[in-house]
Amino acid sequence: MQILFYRYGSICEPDLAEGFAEYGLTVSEITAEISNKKITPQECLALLSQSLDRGSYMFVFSVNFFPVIAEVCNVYRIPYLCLVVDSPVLELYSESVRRPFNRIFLFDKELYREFHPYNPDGVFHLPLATNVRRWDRVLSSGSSDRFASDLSFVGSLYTEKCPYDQLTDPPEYLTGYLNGLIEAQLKIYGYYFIEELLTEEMAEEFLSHIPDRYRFPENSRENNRALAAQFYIGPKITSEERIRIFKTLCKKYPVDIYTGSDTSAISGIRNRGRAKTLTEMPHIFHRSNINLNITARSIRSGLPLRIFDVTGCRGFLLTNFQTELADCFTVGEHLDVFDSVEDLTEKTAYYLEHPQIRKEMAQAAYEHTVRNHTWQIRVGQMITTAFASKEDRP
Amino acid sequence: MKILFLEWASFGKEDIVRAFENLGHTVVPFSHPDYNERASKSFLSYMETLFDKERPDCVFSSNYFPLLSRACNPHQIPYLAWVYDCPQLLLFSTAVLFPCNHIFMFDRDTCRYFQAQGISTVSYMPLAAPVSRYDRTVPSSEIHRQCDTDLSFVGSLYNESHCLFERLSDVNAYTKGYLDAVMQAQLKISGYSFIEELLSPDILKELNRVAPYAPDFDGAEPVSYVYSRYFIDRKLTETERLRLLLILSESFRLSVYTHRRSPALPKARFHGAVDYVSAMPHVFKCSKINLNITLRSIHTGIPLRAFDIMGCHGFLMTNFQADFLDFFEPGTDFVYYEDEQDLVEKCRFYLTHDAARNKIAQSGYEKVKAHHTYEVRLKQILSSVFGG
Repeated sequence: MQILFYRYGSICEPDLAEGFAEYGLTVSEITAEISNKKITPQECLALLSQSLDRGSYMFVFSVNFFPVIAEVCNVYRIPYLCLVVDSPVLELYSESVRRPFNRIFLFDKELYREFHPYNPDGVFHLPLATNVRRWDRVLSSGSSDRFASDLSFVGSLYTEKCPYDQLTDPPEYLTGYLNGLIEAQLKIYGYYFIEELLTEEMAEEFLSHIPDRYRFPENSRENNRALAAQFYIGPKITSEERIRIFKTLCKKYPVDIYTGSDTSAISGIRNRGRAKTLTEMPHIFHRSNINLNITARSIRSGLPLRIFDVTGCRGFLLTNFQTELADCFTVGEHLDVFDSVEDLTEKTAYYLEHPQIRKEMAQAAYEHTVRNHTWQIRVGQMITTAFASKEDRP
Repeated sequence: MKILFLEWASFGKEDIVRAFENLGHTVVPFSHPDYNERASKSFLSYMETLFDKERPDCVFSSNYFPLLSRACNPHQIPYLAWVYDCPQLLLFSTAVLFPCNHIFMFDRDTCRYFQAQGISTVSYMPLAAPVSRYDRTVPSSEIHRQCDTDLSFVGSLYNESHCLFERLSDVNAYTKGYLDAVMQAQLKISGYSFIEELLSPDILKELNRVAPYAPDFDGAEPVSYVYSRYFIDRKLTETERLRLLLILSESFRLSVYTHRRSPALPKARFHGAVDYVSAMPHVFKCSKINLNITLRSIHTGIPLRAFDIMGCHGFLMTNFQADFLDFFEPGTDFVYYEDEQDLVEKCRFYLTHDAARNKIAQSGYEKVKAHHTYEVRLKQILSSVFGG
C-alpha cells in the first residue's frame, strides 16, 4: 500500500517516513517545499492534484497541518493524516480543520482540548517519539570526548526570534500588566494561564502595538487572545526563563549550550554553537552527565521532542514539570523534574554527585523509550486510530 | 503546673483555659491594657509584681506579644505563644529571638519563613477544636428553623471601609497594571503564594511612594511582607470570597454570617456576625455544607474555622491548603475544591448525596476528636517545652 507524504523540511519527517516504511507502507514524497519555502498554496494544490490523479494512495500525510492539503483531500475524498509537532500552529485556526477526511494528531493535550470541539471525529492526541535505531547507529559509530559535559542544553534562547520584541510603544498600564503576567507565569509550571488572563480588549490593544502583526487568513476563526498568549507572549516567557536559569546555573556549574542564540548576557556559559541534529546531537545527549529540558512555554502540557531524543540516546534528563510527563514516563525512575530555579540548582548538585543513579535512570529511560516511544510505535497508533471505526476509537 | 494566661479578646480562650485545667494545671488569668504594645514600663512592672506573687512555671498567650518576652526573659520564665493569626506583625519584633520564647505557629509556611532566617524559637503547631463543648451544643428546633441551610459561610468579606488596598489607588499606570496582573494570576493558583516574591524593587518603591510604610524601632518586617500580606492578600481574599459566594448563591441556598452585608450578593441570606462561642457551632451544625475560603495571607495553614467545622461534625468544603495533608485525607475527612467550576460541581454532588456527605463529616469529626482537641494540642505544646 502506498501513501503520499507532503514534506516541507520538518526535522521529524525522515523518522516518520522510516516509521511508515517499517509499518509496511510504500512512501511517495512531494518535496518541493523543502527547497522552496515560498511555495504558494496554489502551487501546493497543483502538486498534490498531480500526484493524486496519477497514483492510488491510502492517505496523504504531513507533519503539522496544511489547510490546502485538507481541502484537496476533501475534494479527492482521501484521508489526510497529519501530526502536529509544534505549538502554536496557527493554521489550526483555519476552518479547514473541520473537513471530514482530516485525521489530525496533536502532541499536546491542551491543543487537543482547544481544537477537538471543531472536529470531534477527526482530532486526536498523540505524544511525540524518537528514532532509537537511528541514535543507536550514530552512537555505535564511536564516541567523541568533544561532547563530554557536566550539564548541557540544546536549544534556542529565543533572544533573536522572539516576536514579542516587536511590541512598540505600549501604554504604561499594558506594559505593567504584561510584565506582571510574565513574572507570575514564570513561577508556575503545569498551568499556562496567560490566555485566560488577557481580555479580548487587552489582546487587541497588545496586537495593535505590534507592527506587521500576524493576521488570520480568510476562512479562519480569529482568536486574538490565543494569538497574543501563545504566539507572542509564550516565546518571551521562554526566553526570560532560559536566560534566568542559565544565569543562575552558570554561577555554580559549567554549562554547555548548543545554540544559534546570542549568549553574551550569560557570563560563564560555554556557547558551543549550533549542534547538527543527526550527527552531533546524539553524542551530546549521550555524553552529558545531565541533559536539561526547559520546555517552550507555548507547549502548555505536552512533551517536546527533546525529551524523547535524550532518553532515546541513553542520556540522563532533568526537565521542567510538564503535565503530560506522567503519561509517558515515571518521574524518579526514568528522569527527574524541577519546579523552580532553586529546585533545579539543588537537583543539579545532587545528580552531579551521583553518577550511578544517573546511569541507572538513563538506562531505564532508554529501555522504556524503546518499548513505548519510538516513531514506529507511533505510526502504528496513528494508523490504527485513523482507520478504526468510531466505536473502536479510544 | 501554674500557668499565667494572658486574657485578651482571642478566639477559644475559654477552651484553652478549660483544657489546661482538664490536664490538671492551674491557670491564672491576667490582663493589662498595654499587652499589645511594643514597649510599656507599666506592663513590665505589672508582670514583675505578678511573677513575685504567683511564681508561675510559664506564661501562655494566644498569638505572640513582644512585651511578654521582655517580661519573661530576665527571669528565664518560659513564654509559650500559640499563634492563630496570619499575618501577625508583632512576630517581627526583635524580642522573638529571646531564648525564653516557645512560639508555636499554625501556618507551616510562615514557620519556615522564620526558621529560614535562623530563628530557632518558632515551631509548627496546628490549631485545634473544643470537641467536647461542641458535643454538648445541640441546636434547638427553633435554632434549626432559623439556621438550617444548604451552604454557609462564616467570616469577613473584607469589605470594610478602611480597606488598605485602596491606599494604593494612586500608583502609576505601570504599577497598577503589574499589580492587577499578578493578583489575577494569584487568584488562579491555590496552594502557592507568589505575591511577595513578585514585588520587585521598582514596584515596592512606587507602593512606598503612595502609601509609605516604615517599621517602627522594634520591627524587622520587610516592606514586601507588609504590602503583600496586609494590602494585597486581603484584597485578593475579598475578591475571591465575593466571586465564589456569588456563584454559589446563584445555584444554592447560601447563608453568610459576616459583619457587613454586601450588595454584590443579592441572593445570599445575610445573618450578621455570629458569636464564636455561643452561636457559631449552631451554624456549622445546621449547614449541610460549611465553606472555608482561607484568608490568602495564610499560605499553607489550616485555619481555625476548618477545625471548628470538623469538630462540630460539619461537612467541610475548603480551598486547598497544604497543611491539611499532614493530618487529613481529602475526600475522606474533608473536601477541597480546585476552582470555581469544581466548587459548584462538588457542592451540587454533596448536597444531593447525603450519605457520602455524612460519612465525610463523621470521619473528619472523629479525627479531630481523637487527635486535634485542645487537650491533645496543649499537652503537645507543654511536653515540647518541658519534656515528658
